[in-house]
Amino acid sequence: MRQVSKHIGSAVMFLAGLLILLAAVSALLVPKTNAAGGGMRDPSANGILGEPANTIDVLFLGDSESYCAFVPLQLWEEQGITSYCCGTPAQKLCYAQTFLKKCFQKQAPKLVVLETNEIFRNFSAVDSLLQGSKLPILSLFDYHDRWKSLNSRDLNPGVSYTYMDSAKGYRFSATVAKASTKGYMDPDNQIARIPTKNYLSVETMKQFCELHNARLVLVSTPSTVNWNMKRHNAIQELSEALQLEFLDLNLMPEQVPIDWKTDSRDKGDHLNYFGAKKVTNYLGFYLAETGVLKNHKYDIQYKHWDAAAKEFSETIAKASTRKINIR
Amino acid sequence: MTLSALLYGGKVDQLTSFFSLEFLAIFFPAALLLYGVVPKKCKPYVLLAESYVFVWLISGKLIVFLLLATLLIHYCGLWLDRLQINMRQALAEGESDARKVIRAHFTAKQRGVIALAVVLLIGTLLALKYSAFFAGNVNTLLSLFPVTLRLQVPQHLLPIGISFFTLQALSYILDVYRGTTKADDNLPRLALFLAFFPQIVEGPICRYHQTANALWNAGSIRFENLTQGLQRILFGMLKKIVIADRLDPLVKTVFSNHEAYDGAVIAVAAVCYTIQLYMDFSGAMDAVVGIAQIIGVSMPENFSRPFFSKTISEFWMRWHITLGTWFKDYVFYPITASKGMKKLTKRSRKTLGNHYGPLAAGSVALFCVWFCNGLWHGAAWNYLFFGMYHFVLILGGSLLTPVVRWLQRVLRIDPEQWWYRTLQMLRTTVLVIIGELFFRAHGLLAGLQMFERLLTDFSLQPLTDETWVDLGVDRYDLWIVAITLLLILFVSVYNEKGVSLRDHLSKKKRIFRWAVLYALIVYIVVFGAYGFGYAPVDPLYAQF
Amino acid sequence: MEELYEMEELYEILNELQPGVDYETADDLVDGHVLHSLTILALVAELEDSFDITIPAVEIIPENFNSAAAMGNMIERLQKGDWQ
Repeated sequence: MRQVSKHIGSAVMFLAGLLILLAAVSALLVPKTNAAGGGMRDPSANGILGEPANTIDVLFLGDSESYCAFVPLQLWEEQGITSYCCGTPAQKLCYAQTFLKKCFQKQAPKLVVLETNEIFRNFSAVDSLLQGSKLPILSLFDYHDRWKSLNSRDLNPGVSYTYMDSAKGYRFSATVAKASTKGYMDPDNQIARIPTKNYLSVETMKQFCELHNARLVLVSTPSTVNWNMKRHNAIQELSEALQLEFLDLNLMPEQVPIDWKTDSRDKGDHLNYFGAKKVTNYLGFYLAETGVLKNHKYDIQYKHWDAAAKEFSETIAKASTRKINIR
Repeated sequence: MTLSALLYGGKVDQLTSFFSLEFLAIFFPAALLLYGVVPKKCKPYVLLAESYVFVWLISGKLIVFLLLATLLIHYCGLWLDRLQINMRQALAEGESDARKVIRAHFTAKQRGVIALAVVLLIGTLLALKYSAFFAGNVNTLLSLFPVTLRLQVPQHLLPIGISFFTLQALSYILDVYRGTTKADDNLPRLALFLAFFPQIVEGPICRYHQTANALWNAGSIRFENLTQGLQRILFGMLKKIVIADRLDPLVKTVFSNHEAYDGAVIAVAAVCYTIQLYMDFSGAMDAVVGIAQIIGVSMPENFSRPFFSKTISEFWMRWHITLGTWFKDYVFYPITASKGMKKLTKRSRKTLGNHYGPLAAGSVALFCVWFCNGLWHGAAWNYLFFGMYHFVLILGGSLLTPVVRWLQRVLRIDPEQWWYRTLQMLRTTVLVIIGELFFRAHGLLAGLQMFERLLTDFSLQPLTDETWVDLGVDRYDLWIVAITLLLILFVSVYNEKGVSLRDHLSKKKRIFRWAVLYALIVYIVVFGAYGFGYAPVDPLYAQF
Repeated sequence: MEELYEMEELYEILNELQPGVDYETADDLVDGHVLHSLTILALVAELEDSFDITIPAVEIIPENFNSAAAMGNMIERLQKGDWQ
C-alpha cells in the first residue's frame, strides 16, 4: 500500500511539473496579435478583437454560409448599424460559443444572429474540448505550430490585438456559378434530426445572450445545396421550443429575390456578392425594425466606419467589374 | 458508456489511429482504468469486452466477421483435437498392420476439416477484399470481346483488421493440425487472442503460443510496466506525429499528381514515403507493444531496424517481421518440404550443385510467398508488382551469391569492413525505396511512369524553397524531420548494439529521467504535425 | 563418439553454405539474420542427405536452427523417428 501511494505521489508530481512546463510553452506560443501574420487562426473572424470597445451592435455567427451572405459594411451604409461577422469555415457550435464569449468580453451586441446551417453540424467531445474551452494550456495544442514564426516579441507574454479586418468578417466573391433549383424547398413534412448536443448548445447560447441583455436570432441564408424543407421544419421546431425568432430567407423570395442563375458563387452552395447584397439589404430593414439598434451613421465616434465602408466599396468596384467582364 | 458505445457503432474510425485524441485521451485511459479496477478474475473478460467495443466503434456491424472467424476456428480446432484423440485410440487398439490404414483415414478427415476452415477464412477475405479487383479485371477482359456482358463490380466495406486476424486464425488452426498447439476449448481466450484491441488494427500478427495465454492471464498493472509501456508509446508517437504525418502532404501531393513533377521531386517523394511508411507503421507497433507491456504482456516485435540490412532478404527479416515469418512458416517451408518439391531438390542438387540445386524448389516457393505477400497488401496490380519485384531481388541475390563471394576473394575484400557493409546497406535501402515507389503509386501504370521519369528526367537543379512550399512543406518542416530522424537513428544505433536506452534511463536519477521525458513530451506537442492546418492521417497499414 | 563425428560433419556443411561464422558458439543464426530462408532450404536438403532423415515443415523453426547444437538435437531426434 505504501508502495502504491508512493507511485501515485510521483505520478502526480510528474504531471504537475508537466502542466507547469506546458503552460510556460503555451505562453510563449500563443499569438500575440490577432493578425494572420502573428499566427492567429481565422484572422477575419478574430478581427473583432481589434474593434474599439462597445462599438459592435450585431454579431453574426455561422459557418461559411454566414460570411458569404452577411455584409457588415453594407449594413452600415444602408442602416447605420454596426455589425461583425465571426463566421469561420465549417464552424461548429462549440466554436461559435467560443466566439460569442470572446466577443462579449469587449463588446456589448444587442443582437446575435446565428446562421442555422451549422446547427446541423456534428461535433465531438474532442471538438468542444479543443475549440470550446478557454483553458490556456489547451491553446498550446491549438497554436503549437507557431514555433515556425516565433520572434523576440513572443518572449513578452502580453497580447495586443490591433488588427482590424477591412470587410468586418465578410468574404467577398463575385464569381458566378449557376445553381440548379430542382427540388429546392419543395414541400416536405419530414423533420431533419438535430443532434441533442447541438440543441443544448443553441439553448446555452440563448441563455448566455439573455444574461448579457442581447437577443439571439436564427437566420437561414439562401442555399440550394444546404437548405431544404426538412431542415426548415427542424429549425422551426427548435425556434418554437426555445422561443427564438427564426427567419428563413429561403422562403422569402419577395423580400430576398435571389436569382440562382447569377447570385451563387458555387452552384448554390454559397452566395456571391450579388446574392449577399440582397440578403443584407432585407436583413437591414428587419434589424432596423427591431427597434433595439441605434443608427450611428452621424455619430462622430463612428467615423472610422465611413472610412472602412469607402475602402470596401472601392475594392468591390474594382474586383466586381473585373470578374463580371471575365464572365 | 456502454449505451453510447452502442450508438456510435462504426462511427469512430479515428480510433484506428493510436495517436488520435479519441484513442489516446478517451478510449485508452478509460479501457486501462476499467481493466485496472476490476478483480483479477474478470480482467480477461473485460479486456475481451473492450476489444469488441473497440472493433464495434470502428467497424459497426462488420464485427460479425470477426465473431464468425472466432467461432469457426474454435469449433474446427476442437474437431481436429477429437480426430487426433480418436486416431491415437484407434492406433493403440488396432492391429499393427492396420495402422497405416487408420492413419490415412484420420489424416484425410483432418485435412477435410483444415480445408473447410481455410476455404471459409480465405474465401471471406477474398470475397470482401478482392472481388472488386477480380470483377474489374474480368470486365476489362470482356471489353475486348464483342459482348455486352459485364460483371457488377461489388463494393464491400472491410471490417477493421480482417487481413491481420485472418492470418492469426489460419495460423492457429494450422498449428492445431500440425500438433504444435493444443486446441483451445476456452472460447473467450481464443476470442481475445484474435481481437486484442491494439493488435487487431495492424498487427503484429501473433501466434497462439505467443500471446493467447499471456493475454488471458495478464494480471494487474504494475507501475514499472506502466511507465515503461507509456515511454514506448511516447516513442511511437514521436515517429508517427512528428515525422510521418509531417511528410504526408508532400507524399500525397507528388503521388496524386505525379505528372507535374520531374525525377528529382519524385525521388524525394519516394524517399519521404519510405520514411513515412516506416515511421507510421513502426510507430503504431511501438504503441501496440507499449500497451501490451502495460498489462505485462510481451508482444512479438515487428521491426528490428530494417534499414541496417545488408541484403533485401535480410531486410524482410527485419521489416514487418511477423508477416514474413507467417509466410515462411505456412507457405514457404510447407511448399519446399512437400514430397514433390523434395524430389525436385534431390534431383537438381545432383546436376546443379549444392548452392543452385535447392534454389529450384526454393524459387517456386519464394514465388508463391511473394505473390501472396503482394496480394495480401491489396487487390491491385501495383501490389502484385511490388511482390514480384522483391521476389526477383531476393532470388537474384541468391543466384549471385557465389559470384559475389568469388569477387570478394579475388579483390580481397573483407565483407565485414565498415565501408563495405555501409555500401551494402545503402544499396539495400535504395532498392527498398524503389519498391515503395511502386507500392505507393496510384496504380501500376503511374508507378512505371514515375520510375521512368526518375531515370530519364532527373535534373540536379537544387530544389528551391518555392518547390518545397508547392509540395506542402516548408524549410522548418524539413529541419524538424531531419533532426528527429537523427534522434531516432541515435536510438537505433544503440538498440542495434543491444543497448536499451529505456532501461538505461530507468537507472538514472529522477531529475535526469524526468527532464528527458519532459523534453520528449514538449517536443512532440510543439513539433507534432497535428491540429489546425494538418489533416489527420489514418494509419497506413490499417487499410491492408 | 558417433555424436562428435556428426557435429564435425554439421560444422563442415554449415561452413560450406555460409562461411565466415563461428558455428561452435553462434546461437542466433536465424534470429541474428545469418541464415536466410533460401540458405536454410539448402541446409535442410544437405542435412536430409547426410544424416538420412526427413525434416518436415513443422521442424523448420528458428529454435531448431539458431545454433549448431540445436540442429544436432533435432537431427538426433529425427533419426530416432519420434517426431510423430
